[in-house]
Amino acid sequence: MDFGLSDDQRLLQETVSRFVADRYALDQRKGYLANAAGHDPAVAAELDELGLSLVQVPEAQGGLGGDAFDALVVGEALGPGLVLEPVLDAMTAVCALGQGVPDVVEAASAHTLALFERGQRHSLKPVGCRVDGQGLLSGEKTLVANVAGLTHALVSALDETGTAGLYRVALDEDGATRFDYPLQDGRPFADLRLEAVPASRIEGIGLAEIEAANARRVIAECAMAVGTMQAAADMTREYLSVRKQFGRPLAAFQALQFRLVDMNMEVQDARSMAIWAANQANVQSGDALLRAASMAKAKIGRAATLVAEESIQLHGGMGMTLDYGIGAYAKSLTTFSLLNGDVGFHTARVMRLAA
Amino acid sequence: MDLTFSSEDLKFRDEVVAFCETEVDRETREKIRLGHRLTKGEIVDYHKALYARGWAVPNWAPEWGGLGWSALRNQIFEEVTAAHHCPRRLSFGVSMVGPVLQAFGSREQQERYLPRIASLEDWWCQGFSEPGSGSDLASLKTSAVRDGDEWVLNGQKTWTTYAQHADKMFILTRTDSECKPQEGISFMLLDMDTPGIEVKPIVLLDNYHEVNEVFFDNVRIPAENLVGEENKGWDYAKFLLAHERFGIAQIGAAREQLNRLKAIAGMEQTEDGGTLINDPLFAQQVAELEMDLTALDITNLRVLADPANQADLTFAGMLKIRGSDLNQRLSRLIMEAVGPAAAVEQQGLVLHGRNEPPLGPDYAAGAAPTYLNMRKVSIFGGSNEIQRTIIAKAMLSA
Repeated sequence: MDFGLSDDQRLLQETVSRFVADRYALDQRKGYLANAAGHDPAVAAELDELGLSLVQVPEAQGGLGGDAFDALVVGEALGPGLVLEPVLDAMTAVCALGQGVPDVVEAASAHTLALFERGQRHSLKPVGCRVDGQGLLSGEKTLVANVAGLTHALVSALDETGTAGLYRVALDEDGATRFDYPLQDGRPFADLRLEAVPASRIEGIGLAEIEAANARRVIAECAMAVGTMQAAADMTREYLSVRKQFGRPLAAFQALQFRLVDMNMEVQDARSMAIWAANQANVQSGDALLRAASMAKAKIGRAATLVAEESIQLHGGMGMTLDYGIGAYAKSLTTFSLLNGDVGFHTARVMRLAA
Repeated sequence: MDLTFSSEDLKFRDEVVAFCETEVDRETREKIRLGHRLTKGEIVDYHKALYARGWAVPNWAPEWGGLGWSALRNQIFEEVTAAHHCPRRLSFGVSMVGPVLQAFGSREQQERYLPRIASLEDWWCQGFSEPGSGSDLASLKTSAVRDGDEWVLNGQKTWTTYAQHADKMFILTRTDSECKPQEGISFMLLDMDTPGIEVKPIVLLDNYHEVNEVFFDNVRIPAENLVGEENKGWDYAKFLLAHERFGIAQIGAAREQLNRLKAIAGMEQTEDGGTLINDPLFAQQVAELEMDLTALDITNLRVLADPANQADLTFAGMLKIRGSDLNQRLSRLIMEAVGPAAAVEQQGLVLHGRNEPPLGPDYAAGAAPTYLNMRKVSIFGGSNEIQRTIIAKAMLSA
């Protein structure tokens, strides 16, 4: 039993943390959001150069051969930056689903995941997207990460027999259009509309494989949320120490101390859960993997909401302003809780998949 | 990062399982499974079994029978014994006064007391809390005044667990009242059969006599029963409380309770003919408890495996708060799973062997008393509010 980081993991952590400190301070991020693309393509290129999408790719395929613990380290280190690029998608689900397809693995960060449909909430089962006998895909996907430099989408769809599969679609094909919007936390996303777009099926990928890959993505997102929660808790602690009312720092008031302590315990609980889930991602498959991801997201999603709300409350009026940093953390955590299965969805799955 | 147990640890786990199954009295384990209370003899027999196996004092110095168990090994032992419904190890001798004597006691005190603690020939109780000194322990007033070769003790202790069974007491006494409260306290050892001691039971919410008031009226303690230096008792008490934190999260007990909860909810019928475990409102609460336990289990291991986290007061307090909360919620949900039958007070009937079949299933009688008894865990050992105060201080001074 050892919770320490290996030398490689420490290096990975330092690399990502340095990038976040140098390129993703909250004020810098605000500037990126003002760009037309909703992020800064030059910074995205720098992030891409870190090669994080290769972390879990086997060494034989040119990757780093890491496991879910490495993804945990990356996720937590990215958390304080609220990075706008879907780097965790590339590192987890894109590489897992594109395993054996060099075009996908070698350009993972140029691929976006198109797995959800409007009206289907958190379900990964394609309903309205279909591929015809000529291999042309039609339908709409929602909540698709939409940054500059994307060339392809991995789209889940039904074939002529009604079986779910995964298809690679070029985004510059005629008939592929994007309706773009920002999320509550500012990240650029889009709905993807496909009208008879040529699609190549990724062999060996069905709904079970999509569910498993998405579970790994959820677990990595949980790690990132832990990093964000820690940053929010640190900022709140700092604020309580500095801000004075009634002639003393807010930190001197026991009612506020207790709330800070409870917030800190939520962060530590969440971190433990993320570590546990990463271990499960390394050793489990099938329903056990899905259940582990759901336990993690249900627990960490709840913690994220609590930390977001308490961060705002403990900052008082400052917490309400769009300009002050704590709101960015709170909105990121709120968005995390809502997407890719909320607390209710994942709790229900924990109940359904008995241990 | 590696969350697997080594093959040595797994082998150790097997040894503990074998011990539980073959060396621990079956009837005692059944009583614990059903949430019934044990007699003194049953508790003593369990400790004799541990002693015979060589596991009575694993964390003491090797010189006194210690085995140098790693933190992880202690955790394995706790989990396996809890899973097999073994009694909890009495902490007063082994985890409290034993380590204090090893660190601060005289050679004579060590030789005289330590072997008898290990074998439970002496049952120790703890004389810390007083009616006016609960969370604010340093304000204690029970005083010891030197008179020749003796100290003369007057005052009162309270919440003294199992004083009615105890042969000895370790006690904090005021030996100087002209200084800061913490600097005038001494740590002494006491024979419970010394004249002038009166033990009065306090019956708790579960109708059980577990704790006592202990009164001292000119009780004469030999001078040699002072531990370490006069007026340094507060330091020894702090040392002791640091030892007491070990295993404070009660992970093994919580896991055993969660399994019990699932088993009971799987047997209880609901109004519509289904079982309680399939009722979504109930199952959701079970699922949330399982998640919370999973996180706490890892937090506990993070503390056990990392000395830096062990020294971090935010973690010690968190384990106490989270562990007590979890065990309380589990005991409540078990009681609610049992349902109306839990509302009947039948612990007394069981204890006195009344010749009447119990109301409801065999697990019904102990559910409410256990729930009521568990309210104590967020109060003793530094209430959860005190823990939050300690954590806040550690967080804000960093």
